[in-house]
Amino acid sequence: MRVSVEGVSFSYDRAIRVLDSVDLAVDSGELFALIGPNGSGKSTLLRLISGVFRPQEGRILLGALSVGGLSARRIAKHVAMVEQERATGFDFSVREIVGMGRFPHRGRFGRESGDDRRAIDRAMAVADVESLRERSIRAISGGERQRVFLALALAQEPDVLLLDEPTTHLDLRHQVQFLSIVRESSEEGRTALIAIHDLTLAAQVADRIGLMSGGRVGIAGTPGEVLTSSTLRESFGVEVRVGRDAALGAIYVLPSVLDEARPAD
Amino acid sequence: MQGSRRIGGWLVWVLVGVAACAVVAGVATGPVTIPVRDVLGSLFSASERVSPAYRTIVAQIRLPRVLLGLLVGSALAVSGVAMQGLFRNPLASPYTLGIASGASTGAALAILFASGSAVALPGGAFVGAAAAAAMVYGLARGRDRRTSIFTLILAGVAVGALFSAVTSFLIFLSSGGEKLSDVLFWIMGGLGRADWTSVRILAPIVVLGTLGVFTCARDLNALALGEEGAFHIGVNPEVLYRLLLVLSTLLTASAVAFSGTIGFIGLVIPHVMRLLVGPDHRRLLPLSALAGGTFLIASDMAARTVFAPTELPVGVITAFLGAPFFLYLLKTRAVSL
Repeated sequence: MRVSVEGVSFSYDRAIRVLDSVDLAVDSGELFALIGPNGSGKSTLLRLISGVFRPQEGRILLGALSVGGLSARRIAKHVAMVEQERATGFDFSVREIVGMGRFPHRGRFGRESGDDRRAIDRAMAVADVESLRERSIRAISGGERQRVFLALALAQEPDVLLLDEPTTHLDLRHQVQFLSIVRESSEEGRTALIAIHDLTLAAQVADRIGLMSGGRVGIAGTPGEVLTSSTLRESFGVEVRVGRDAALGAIYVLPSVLDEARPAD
Repeated sequence: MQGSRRIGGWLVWVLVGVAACAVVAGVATGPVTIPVRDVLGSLFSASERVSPAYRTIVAQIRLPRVLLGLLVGSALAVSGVAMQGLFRNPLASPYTLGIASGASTGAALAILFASGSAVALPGGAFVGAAAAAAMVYGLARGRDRRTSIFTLILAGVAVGALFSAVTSFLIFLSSGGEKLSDVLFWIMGGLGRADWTSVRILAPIVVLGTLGVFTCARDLNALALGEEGAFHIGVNPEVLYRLLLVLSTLLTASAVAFSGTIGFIGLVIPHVMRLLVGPDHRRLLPLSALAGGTFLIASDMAARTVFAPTELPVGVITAFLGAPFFLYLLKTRAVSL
């Protein structure tokens, strides 16, 4: 399902424009990474696509449907979101949490159907949380919890997967594991948008990268096109070296903390 | 869902049985003890074997009182589950929105200025409760027309304090006497004013209100993921807030109007049931309704008999019986609230 953002502007309090006439289109099967400094509007853009907030100008299309005209339930049939952190109010088991992903597909009083159970089991297998099945969502580690929320999102069987800095609190192993699941999921044909701060990881998983600054998607293109030392210096205001690993062919971004600490004499 | 939490399925039927036993026991107990045979006889048959005196006591005095207890206890417990689910806060209760304080002010006004007549007292209490809740919603509704949960809680505290001050002032004005003790006794809560009229008015409200909350059970589960988390799985929190706040206010205000502000049930019964059957509201709500009603009937029996012929305020009993049990569960169950 193609996600199209057309001339979207948004402000939380009508004073500061967080997004200023943003245009963006992401296709089915594409993994698009949003990068940019804190406060550049990455999370806000994802929340607008998810329908939690409505744009003050412009429109957002899921395929041919305008998000603005859809109920929460209609949106949730197509769009799932994983956030950086999520509160959990009560002691639900992991299985119960993942099962909530079927809510938009089920009647208010409907019981889980065979399709529901299959979707839940598949999502739990893909996200590798089967062993946590009966554990309380409050009694597992942060890395495990993020995989559970990814499983919840996958159980929704969404066409569009939105991820708002989902790996920020995870250690290296869990970051790699999480992102490879997302990568596989997009290769199955989902549209995926991920806001992410780790530029080296973004370069490895994303098909395209959009660099946000000043409320706009300034530059969008392949990792090689967007991740250059000059664009990154300009938007983040620090010196970085961008290189390519000879063996993997992967781009890496090396911020120069030492240059900052010890300015050239 | 599996394992220890599967106790939910049969627990409903156990609790239905316990509730029925509590009704019979509640009707049997009092200054005159009526044998269970005769209780069942006067409830279910027209046989001449049961003495007319027993029939009158059962039909006119004890049955309405026990049924009122069942209704009030259920209403408070269901409202408590709804408020704790809504606020995702273990300290939330039916009285979080200042409803108890508003009802007390209304009741005090009715007692002092309308001699606490059978119409003015519940009417005044209901109006006071509804006024407090309406003020709280009004304050918490932001300019962007979204309801802020934090503002709701804070506004509830502030409005509650305001109404409590008004009630204290009214008590001060009353300069002692019988009316003063009437006000204080009403605030402590009790089922002493039960009659068939109160049961007839409260029954449809509690049944419909409870069914209304039941229809939101799944959405309350979704809300455990936070407002945005719920939205992402298709539940619009704003619509849910409005519906549940109205239903919860209706349940609490109506219950309090006839029974006074009985504490503890709406706060602790939901916790106790959650510790027993887990957080799934589809199980939690019906079980809490049954447990709340049963618990209030049992507490009222104790309130009537412990210091007979003097009646204790039932709120004293609910706290005395419930708090230690709750603490025991907290200490022995390795589950957080």
